Amino acid sequence: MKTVNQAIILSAALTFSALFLPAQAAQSTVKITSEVHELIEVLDEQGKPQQKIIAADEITPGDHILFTTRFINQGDKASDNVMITNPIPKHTRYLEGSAKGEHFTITFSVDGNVWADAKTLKIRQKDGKYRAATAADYTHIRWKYNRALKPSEKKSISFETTLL
Amino acid sequence: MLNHISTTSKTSNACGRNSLLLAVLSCVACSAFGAGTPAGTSIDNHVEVSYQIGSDPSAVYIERAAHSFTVSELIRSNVSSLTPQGIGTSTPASNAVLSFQLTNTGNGHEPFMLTTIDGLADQFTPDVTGIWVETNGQPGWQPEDTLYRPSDGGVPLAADQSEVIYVVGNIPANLADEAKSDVSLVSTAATQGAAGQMIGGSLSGLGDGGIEAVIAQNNARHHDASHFTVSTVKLDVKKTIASIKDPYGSELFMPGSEVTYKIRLVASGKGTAKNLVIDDAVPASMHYKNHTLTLNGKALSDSADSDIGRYDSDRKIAYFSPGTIVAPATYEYTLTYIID
Repeated sequence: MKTVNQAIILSAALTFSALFLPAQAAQSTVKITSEVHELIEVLDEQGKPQQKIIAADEITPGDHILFTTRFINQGDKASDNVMITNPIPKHTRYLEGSAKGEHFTITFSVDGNVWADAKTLKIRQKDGKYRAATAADYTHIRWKYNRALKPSEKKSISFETTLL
Repeated sequence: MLNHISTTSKTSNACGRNSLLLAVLSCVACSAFGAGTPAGTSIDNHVEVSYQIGSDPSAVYIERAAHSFTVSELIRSNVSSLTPQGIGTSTPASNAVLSFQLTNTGNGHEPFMLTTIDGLADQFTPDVTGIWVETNGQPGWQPEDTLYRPSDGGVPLAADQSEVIYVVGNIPANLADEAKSDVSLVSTAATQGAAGQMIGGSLSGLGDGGIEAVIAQNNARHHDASHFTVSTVKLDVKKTIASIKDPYGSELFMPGSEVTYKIRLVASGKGTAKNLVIDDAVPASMHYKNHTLTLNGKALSDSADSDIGRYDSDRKIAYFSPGTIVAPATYEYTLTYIID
């Protein structure tokens, strides 16, 4: 009886594990890092304004912030449907047109659920009517890679905000 | 400089004398400059990447990364004159007052030191006897307000907070008519080292709670100016009831009685008073009788036109705007109100 019970318990445990085994039981192969910098305007030798990236250690209201995500496929197989989602940090406002990523389709959301490009995204007003969403309404940004991420391939995406 | 006189009509009183109000002092409610995200706030960025390996749509992998930074303190102030048109004063005069609003437009708590710059070259120099902070709740300066002392370490202000500041001084004797003195109130952040920094400079560890402090103005300083202007013209205003006519031909106060007031303006001394405006608000329980404005017996129109009279039916105020008068001179204005 004891052996049978043990077998039943073991079987149940295995089943339990199988039901709740996370999909990413195999080792994750895409590694990502997040960086934050400040963007300032400086004058070059000809007196023309140029943007300069500096460390984000003196950021105050009104400053421009650059958020960069870098990722690399460290596996030996291509990764498909690579999608990066970044909520716009609290206390900041997205700078229109600043989201970048080569070979990515970029969409936006005002609630984290519905996604659309900048030209078609709408937001519901208090009176129930919809209007075109502006950069100030965005709560999330999403980048969808239009290709497979090959082994050892590195990519980066970025966006800018203003600190409110 | 604006010379503005307000008179009021009362149903039962015979007269009201108003002293010259050379400027309108309005204590502006704390204006919201929007100091922004408070110093010390942590800004957190969270990013997530999802992907598949192979063609199995259920094999979705997720990786996350995060990065945070702390908002630095922005040190910045704004000084704004509440009497940009200046204050008229006699010569000599004591306790002449210029009013300013000091606002912390940074995003952290900061004390500000105050100083004045009194009188440009070729102007007279007032004897500034004190800088005061409005604290007694009564509009305008009173000795019960708080005298500013540099030894107290500055006027402490939270982000977006304002205080009304008075610069009080004595005006010298024997000054010429229209002699002027520009007086600036200067605010400088009290944080150690701030005054020596140019715009964009930073002070490591000297912001609120030990965070970085960033200087938004050269020498962490801001100022604004107003001025004293001497006027040797003395204006005296007296208001009396010239006549009463009730509906029955007598001189009783009753509904329907027409009360005609006379405002006598006497400019004595020597010199010129400019931009002079007299306004008279319709009192409660009365209404204005159209087309009754006169100057020295001559009818003025109710509408805003080339003559100096005007009745504003929306605000229910009658205006006499003689503009510039040269002393000595006497003017008599009349207008009629009807008791409701």
